[in-house]
Amino acid sequence: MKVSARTKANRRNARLSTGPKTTAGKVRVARNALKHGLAVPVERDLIMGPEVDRLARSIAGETADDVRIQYARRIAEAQVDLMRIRRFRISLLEKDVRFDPLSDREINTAIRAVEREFGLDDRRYFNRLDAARTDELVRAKLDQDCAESFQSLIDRLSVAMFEKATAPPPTLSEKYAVLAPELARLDRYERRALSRRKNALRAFDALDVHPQEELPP
Amino acid sequence: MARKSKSGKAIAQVAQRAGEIRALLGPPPLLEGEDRSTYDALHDRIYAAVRPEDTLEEIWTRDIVDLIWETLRLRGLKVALMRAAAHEGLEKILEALGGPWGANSDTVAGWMRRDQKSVRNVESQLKQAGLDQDAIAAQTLAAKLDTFEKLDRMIMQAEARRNAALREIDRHRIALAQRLRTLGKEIEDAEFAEVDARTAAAE
Repeated sequence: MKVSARTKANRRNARLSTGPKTTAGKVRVARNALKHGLAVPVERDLIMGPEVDRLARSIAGETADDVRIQYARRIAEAQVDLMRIRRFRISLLEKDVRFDPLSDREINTAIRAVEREFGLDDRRYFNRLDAARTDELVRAKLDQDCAESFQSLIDRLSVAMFEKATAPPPTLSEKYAVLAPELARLDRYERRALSRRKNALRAFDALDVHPQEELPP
Repeated sequence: MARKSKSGKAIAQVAQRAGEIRALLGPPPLLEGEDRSTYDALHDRIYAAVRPEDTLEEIWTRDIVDLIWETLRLRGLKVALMRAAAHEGLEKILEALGGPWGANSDTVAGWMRRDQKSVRNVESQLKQAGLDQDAIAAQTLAAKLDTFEKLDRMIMQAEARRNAALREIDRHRIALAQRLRTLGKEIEDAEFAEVDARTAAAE
């Protein structure tokens, strides 16, 4: 089969996008799954795992057979997952967000503002870079601009950090606003767990009307 | 020692079971400073209205209580935010109205402290411009629109989930009633069959 030039280019480019290359990048990515632990299946959760069995027994009833307990276990897993997500949300809202370091967004905003101020964000900058290769004066001016923009960036970030550190504690509504992205992420986890619980509950309720075989693993 | 009646024992058993399930469902989702007794009062009222019959209904009832609590919290936050950010709205209005340079910040600070002189000053400036307190509220809303929108979205989500939980209880009860009807019919059929057999034997 003939491979088109576009496909070849795509494959070539894909080989370049294989995750972080630096040790720092690899370390950072390795910690992704540990940020909140909600991606860990609930049965492997050392704290909440045992809750599943107790809740499944309570849902299925004392005289339940194995099939019924299996169906109840699915509900219990989703329920314990929900409890885990909701506890995490409370701990997030109770966290003191005052002295957090500057967020990536704040740093990027400061960088963009400085770039705009010094004209580093448009084509003219690259034209000047080209000119700097041959013209000593242009190169000197460019060096000076870069030094000034760097100093300006450091100043702005220092001011932002000082303002953040000395600001009064945020009110709860401010926390909700600041934490909106994290809360939205948690909400996605919650929605999935709610959906799993609903399906498991319906299957459990249907068990008496249409007795089922054992659940597939 | 006084003997417990049968119904008393049943009530005690139900209460014990409810307590166990409540413990299984974990602590209430209260933030620091939120009143546990108010939460408990809400829980008891909802519990009395829904009267959960089994663990599944206990789970939904708990969901409903927690979601109502969340809605109340978010609505309270909206009111608190409106009050706390009112100075931003007032500042914008006074800025638009002009006035001596630098005088606005003192007036706004005094108005927030409810200092009588500043309050009268603000009222007279608003009156001169044909405005009232609603203008401050409108400007405050505009200044914090993003946060208000986020809170509103969260309230809507909590309400939708509460309604879904109520629907699930309804559906579960219909399924339960159907199950009981089927079971009742089976028992009746079995009894008739037994009577028929006995009658046939006597004959």
